[in-house]
Amino acid sequence: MIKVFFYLMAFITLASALVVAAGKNLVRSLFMFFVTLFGLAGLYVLALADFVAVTQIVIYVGGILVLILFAFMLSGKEALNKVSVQADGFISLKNAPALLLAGLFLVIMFNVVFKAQADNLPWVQAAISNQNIMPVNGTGINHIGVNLMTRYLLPFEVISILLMLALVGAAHLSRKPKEDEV
Amino acid sequence: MESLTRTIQAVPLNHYIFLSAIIFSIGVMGVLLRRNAIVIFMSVELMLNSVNLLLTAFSVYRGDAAGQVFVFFIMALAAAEVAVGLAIIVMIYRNTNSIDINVLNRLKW
Amino acid sequence: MELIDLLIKIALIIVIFVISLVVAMYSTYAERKIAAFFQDRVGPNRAGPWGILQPLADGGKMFLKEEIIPTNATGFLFIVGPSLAILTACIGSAVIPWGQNLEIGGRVIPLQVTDINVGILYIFGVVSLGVYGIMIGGWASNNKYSLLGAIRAASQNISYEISMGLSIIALLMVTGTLSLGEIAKQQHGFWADGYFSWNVFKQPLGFLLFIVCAFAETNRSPFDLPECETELVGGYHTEYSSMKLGFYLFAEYINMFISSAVMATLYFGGYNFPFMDLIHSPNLVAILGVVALFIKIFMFIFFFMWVRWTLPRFRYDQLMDLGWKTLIPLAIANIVLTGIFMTFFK
Repeated sequence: MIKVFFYLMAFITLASALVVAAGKNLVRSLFMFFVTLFGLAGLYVLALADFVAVTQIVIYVGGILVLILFAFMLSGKEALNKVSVQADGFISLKNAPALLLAGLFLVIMFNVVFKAQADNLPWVQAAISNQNIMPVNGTGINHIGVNLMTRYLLPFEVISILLMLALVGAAHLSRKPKEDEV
Repeated sequence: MESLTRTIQAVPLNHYIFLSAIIFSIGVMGVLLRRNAIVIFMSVELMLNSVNLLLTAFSVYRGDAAGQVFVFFIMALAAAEVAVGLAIIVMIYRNTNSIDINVLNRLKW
Repeated sequence: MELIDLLIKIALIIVIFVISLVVAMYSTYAERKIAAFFQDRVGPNRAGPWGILQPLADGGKMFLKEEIIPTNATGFLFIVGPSLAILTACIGSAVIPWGQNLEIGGRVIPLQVTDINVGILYIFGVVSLGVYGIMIGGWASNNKYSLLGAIRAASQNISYEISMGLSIIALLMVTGTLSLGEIAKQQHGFWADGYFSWNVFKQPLGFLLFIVCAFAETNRSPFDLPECETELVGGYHTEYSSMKLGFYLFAEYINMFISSAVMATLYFGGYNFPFMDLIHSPNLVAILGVVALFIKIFMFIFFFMWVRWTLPRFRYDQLMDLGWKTLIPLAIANIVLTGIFMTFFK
């Protein structure tokens, strides 16, 4: 049952991700990215990380994708069409190096995974045999909160400052230049 | 409770790793192939997301929420990246009337 | 899970779905009657006694009208828009605790579809999805007014989501849990430990912020700028007709119902009512609790309508100023105050 769900979600995610990266039509890419994010959220739920799944929906779908849609809406339709028409066939000589690179990357990663044999790592084996697996009954969230405020307090603060800097920078970039500055 | 512990073990850890490797490669491919700035953006997000998936899968096996904490850091970084990146894209569009990154090889317009 | 449990869950889901649709349907009627009352008119009174069949007549009209899809619209997304709007409006009801557990024949029936431990965040996620129906519909119409309405809706929703989230954080500091069932349980009765047990008395400022944001998120007046007739014709649904328009209008009323239910649960004690400990039959308490919750919800819906027919619309820059320069600082101040209070008085 769970397996079926996992492979279904994995299939949806992969198929939509492929359309996002390779699709000709920008509108379709955007819509499929929406599907990809939901598929990933489903995978998080199957990995017993409900909190991450919901945060994924709130941050990625509710925030980041809306911003991307914004940029897309603000740049006119004609300009978008020009770009998508200009890109010629997906598999062509021009694209060969990029495809080769991505393919080789995949091969290398698979090779590493096969070498590492993650399912046979001692601690994973131990976790499986002891059933030492994070429960979902709400303590997981407490765990995250406590970790965030104790062990990872410094990274947390650094990230928040970084986020603020980025937002100030974005606001500065996108402001309209004053008349006398032009 | 016991049914929950069984759910994660129904799917081998290796499959999570393969899945995120494939998603990551799709992201790499998108970044290298596409000319459209917005699609490149989404591909980068795909790469970040594949790492998130891996982190959650490992964190559950580890029985430790630290992995999920890192997921939040990555999400915050992604948000920062999107804010700056989209501001740049909108500025590029305002100046060149296009979001094709090939236009940018001129350095001056 | 046993088969019978599954069947009960499915029945509960269907009942909640039907109730939210019926409430939304009769909200349209109530809205027109209340508007008429405020403007010293009679309101709809022809279909059935006191016009009680008016919503059915409206629905029939919507179904039978000609369906127009503009030539230049993006066909697929044009249909996806209203579907998403109504979908995101409906799924919010899944985590709301509608009452205490019923006991029938030794079987405990929870009156909540699912009590996930991230309930509030789920609601928050659903709210943040609500903007998609409007954005996709507005963009797919390929019309300047629709696009402007969609952009307005999106920026309004994003801006007010922030202060909504911040006001919820202050509430979470008080309750210490993300599960809606748990929060409803904590507000048991009306008076506990020498103070009111409802969260509105613990978080008055937070509630004020939350209700303002709820008005903005449901695109209700005075925040109905995305569909502001004087500037944008019909806003994001300018090009829509027939039942697709009906879905947009219906989604708004369902949103209103769900957000009233959320507000009642989070701040006004949910299914709890004063003196509930005096009644000893648990089943009676549960049923009275459901009634109490629905009374609270209807009061909120009335409040939504009262405001709509009393206050004029904001100007767009005023709306943004209110969101960013007033509500967000107030929400942050609320968090700090709550923290100080919890440190020194508990």
